Amino acid sequence: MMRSLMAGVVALVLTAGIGGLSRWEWEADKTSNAAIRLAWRTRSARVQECRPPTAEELSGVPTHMQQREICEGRVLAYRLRVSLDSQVVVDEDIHGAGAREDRPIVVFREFEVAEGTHTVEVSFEREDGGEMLTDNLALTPATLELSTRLELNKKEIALITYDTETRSLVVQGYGM
Amino acid sequence: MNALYTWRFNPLYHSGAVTQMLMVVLMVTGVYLIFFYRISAPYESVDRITNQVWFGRWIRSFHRYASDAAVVSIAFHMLRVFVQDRTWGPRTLAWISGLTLLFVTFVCGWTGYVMVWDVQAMVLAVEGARFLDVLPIFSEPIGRTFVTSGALPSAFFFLNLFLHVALPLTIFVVIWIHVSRIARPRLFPPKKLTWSIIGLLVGMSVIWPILMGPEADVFRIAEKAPFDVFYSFWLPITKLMPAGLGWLAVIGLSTLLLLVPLLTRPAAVEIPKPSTVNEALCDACRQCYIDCPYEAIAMIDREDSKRGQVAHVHPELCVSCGICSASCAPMSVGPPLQNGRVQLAGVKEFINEENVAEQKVVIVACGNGAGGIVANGFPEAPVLGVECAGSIHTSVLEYLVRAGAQGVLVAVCPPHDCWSREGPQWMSERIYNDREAELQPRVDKRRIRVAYASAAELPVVYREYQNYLADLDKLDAKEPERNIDISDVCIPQEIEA
Ligand code: HEM
Ligand code: SF4
Ligand code: SF4
Repeated sequence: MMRSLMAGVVALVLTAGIGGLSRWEWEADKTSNAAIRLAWRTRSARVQECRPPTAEELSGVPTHMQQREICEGRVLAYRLRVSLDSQVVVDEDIHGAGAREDRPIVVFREFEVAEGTHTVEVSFEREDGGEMLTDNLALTPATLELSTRLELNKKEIALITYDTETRSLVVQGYGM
Repeated sequence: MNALYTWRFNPLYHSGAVTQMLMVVLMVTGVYLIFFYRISAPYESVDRITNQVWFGRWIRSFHRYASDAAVVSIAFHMLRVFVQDRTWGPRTLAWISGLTLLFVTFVCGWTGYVMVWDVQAMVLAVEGARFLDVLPIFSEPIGRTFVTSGALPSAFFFLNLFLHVALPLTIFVVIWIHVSRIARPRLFPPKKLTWSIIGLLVGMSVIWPILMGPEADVFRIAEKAPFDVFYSFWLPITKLMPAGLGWLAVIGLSTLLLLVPLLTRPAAVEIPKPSTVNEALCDACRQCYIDCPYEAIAMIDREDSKRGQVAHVHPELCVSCGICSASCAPMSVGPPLQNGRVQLAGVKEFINEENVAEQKVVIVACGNGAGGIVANGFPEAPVLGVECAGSIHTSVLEYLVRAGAQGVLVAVCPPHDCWSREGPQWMSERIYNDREAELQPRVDKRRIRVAYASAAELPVVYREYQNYLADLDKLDAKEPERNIDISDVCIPQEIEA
């Protein structure tokens, strides 16, 4: 009798233990108050750069197979500059994704900030060069700029992204 | 656990079968839930299941609790086979496929939680993406998918749902591989245990159902929310690590687990030799072939002058448990150091050394269980230690009784605790139910008693010993026999000649 009672109690406690551990209250992100996130994906311009072949490249190739120029295509990089409260936090070239850097360019950054007001300046500028291969109109503009003041509450995330409709950088999420 | 639930229903002894049973529960409850899940509105549809659909909340909670209980039972199952050193040699396949099951179960749990798309789901998804993004597989960071826009593409939830349905199917295929080297795998626990576990989980689902956590919001940093420790326990650890270090830890741990069969394998000289068959003595009774818990014995056509079949051991499948030694009346099969003949020689020595003719009780004990008395001794009575109770030939017991012991206490692991799976079961059937090679009718069965005790249950051995002493007092004392020759009766003369 006593044994059955104990067996029942232990089984109940173990089952309740499973129930409790199945819903452990946890705060995954304690460290930051708010965040500013930069995330977008764009197509850059594909260019072709041609040059005359070097003597070395010509040697050994029969005359009728010699090319007058050697052309290589590539996708132009963008330079991303971000200042947060007048401090430069990013200043670097973003290349196309993929091993040959010919896939769309992806920007994906996140900055933890304290709650409150912050000034953000973003510039995204395509490098110059080469002969354009893609229809320029379908592309992201050569320069994108955004300068704004964000008032962030606790736990809020402001998303700065590229809006294909207006073809400009916009702020989303924040304040919603 | 035995004290509370008796060895018959000790859930630890049935951890593999309990896990399998829970997988079936998950399958059934999952099929119900999937009818109400919408990839176009994941959170809302789960919310609807939780709040509106008749039963929905209970079934969802039952599905959830069963998946948690499965992790617990896998952990115990794994720990048990590890502690019992059942990880190497012919059991390598079971260990490796077990690890596969563990991995698939966790991935399945991950997809299950992502399906709900609450805060926990988002944290799991973002953390998972952070790990995948350091691999050079994807040209674009997939983590971006979760954070750019409010509405996630339903393609993502479709893929996730597909995995959550497909992976359990692979689990059943892998379970089949997992137990493929085992004869008569126990895939379901005893009915009483099955229904108790189901009853407890259903009861908790009704009384304390799972409710919705806050919905995932990609524009808010994850707030405090309920997390499932069984599937998300790694989050607090990996959150502190760069993804590369996390991978290193995962790869390190997985390699270690995968190497367990190699690391736990004893040195070559210590590995017991597999069973062999003395074909001249085998009369093709098939009993060893039936009894072997690892399907290591086949019956093949004889190649010598005699006709018919003969037992044949596949050494690569044999775990040297010795169980076949006790299956064979003519003592023609068994690992070289454990076969019936070697046991008889050993028992003769034991009888002389321990002066068995003068003993009230002699204990034959299994080295893996029996309160650990083989290793630590038992001051009250002489102990004849064996590798596995299932390997004790009944002739050995007969010998001890006829040599003068008033009683023989066979102290063995509880049936479901046997390291070789079926030892105690076959042993007691040979003593009490005339299973081949049965205890001969000329032996008074009251002179032999079986006591089930695990390695941790020394008090049980004491109790059984005291009870047996008291019961033996009620019997008349018997005289020892002289010149016992078991082989006269046991082994056919013409073969012996
Ligand atoms: C979904 C998860 C799992 C299920 C359903 C499962 C189920 C089973 C079942 C039913 C048996 C046969 C028990 C018997 O009849 O004696 C078994 C044996 C075994 N399991 Fe598992 N198991 C799982 C996971 C694991 C894991 C994670 C490991 C270890 C990494 C493992 C290692 C083993 C070993 C080594 C054996 C064989 C023991 C022997 O041959 O003596 N299993 N399992
Ligand atoms: S010792 Fe005998 S019973 Fe045990 S695995 Fe080998 S062949 Fe099978
Ligand atoms: S139990 Fe003995 S006699 Fe019977 S098949 Fe096996 S080896 Fe042959």
